[in-house]
Amino acid sequence: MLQPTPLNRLCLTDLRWSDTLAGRADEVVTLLESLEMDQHDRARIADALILRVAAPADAIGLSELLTASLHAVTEDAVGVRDGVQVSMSIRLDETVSLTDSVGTRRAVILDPDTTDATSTCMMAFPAHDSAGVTDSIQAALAVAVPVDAASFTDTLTGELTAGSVFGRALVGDALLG
Amino acid sequence: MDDFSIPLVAGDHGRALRFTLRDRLAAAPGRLLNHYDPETWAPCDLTRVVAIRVPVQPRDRSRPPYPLTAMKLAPYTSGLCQMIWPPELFAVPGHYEAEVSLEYAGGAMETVYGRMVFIVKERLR
Repeated sequence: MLQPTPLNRLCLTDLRWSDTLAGRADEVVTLLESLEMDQHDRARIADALILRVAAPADAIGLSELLTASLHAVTEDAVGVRDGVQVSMSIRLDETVSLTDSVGTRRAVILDPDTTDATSTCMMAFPAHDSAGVTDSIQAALAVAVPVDAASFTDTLTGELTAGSVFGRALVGDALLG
Repeated sequence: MDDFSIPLVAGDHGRALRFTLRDRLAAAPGRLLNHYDPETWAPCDLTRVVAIRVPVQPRDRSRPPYPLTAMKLAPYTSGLCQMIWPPELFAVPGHYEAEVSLEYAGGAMETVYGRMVFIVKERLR
């Protein structure tokens, strides 16, 4: 006769729907385009731009999240890319701090293994550094994977315009309130 | 240990799903543990979780599991997670099962016994 067994401890609760960027992609794309086009129009930019990049299909590591979400690397660099599903073998092994040409910390990419950013990539760009957003992202990717700078910029700009890059991203409240 | 039903229309991917992982064997702070009341269960501390894997597979197993992952939301002691999926994942009507597993450093896994069941209805054209 079967005896009662201890309950499985792990339970899924409070299942509910939540907003994603999908319905607000145009808003974000517009903002990011403004960063590209009016880099010195700082008044148009929020105090901080925080992008929380949601995990794509099979991503674990930070570089995977960042790269997959931005779709900013070539297939040669990444390996397999099928829509939003990205398979990568490249991982960041340590915390990456990015600085601009005058030594100002521009963005900190948290290490998924040592801090509290396991599956969330957070990039904070102070408003006064708005001109460097693209540079920062580019620099981050340059650390993660070897990317041709010119093609990356073209890709990023093109995909921002097309609204495809951030269609699956989540944007922090600091940006869109 | 019940499954969770999630109705969808084929191709929908405009919203995210949030859920909270709890330990039903531990009481939430300041609560008396009741095995039948999730509000009294302690949220799982996800700080040391390196990945939340949510493989999704048609119930008839006609396709291999799709390797979806969820993200944990800060503060990680809240057990709060969020998942999104590509439009093609639920493009075909049918029933799909999703299983939530926590992966810890070193590869240890812990899986929720109850599954999410996506009930995908045909989209009218």
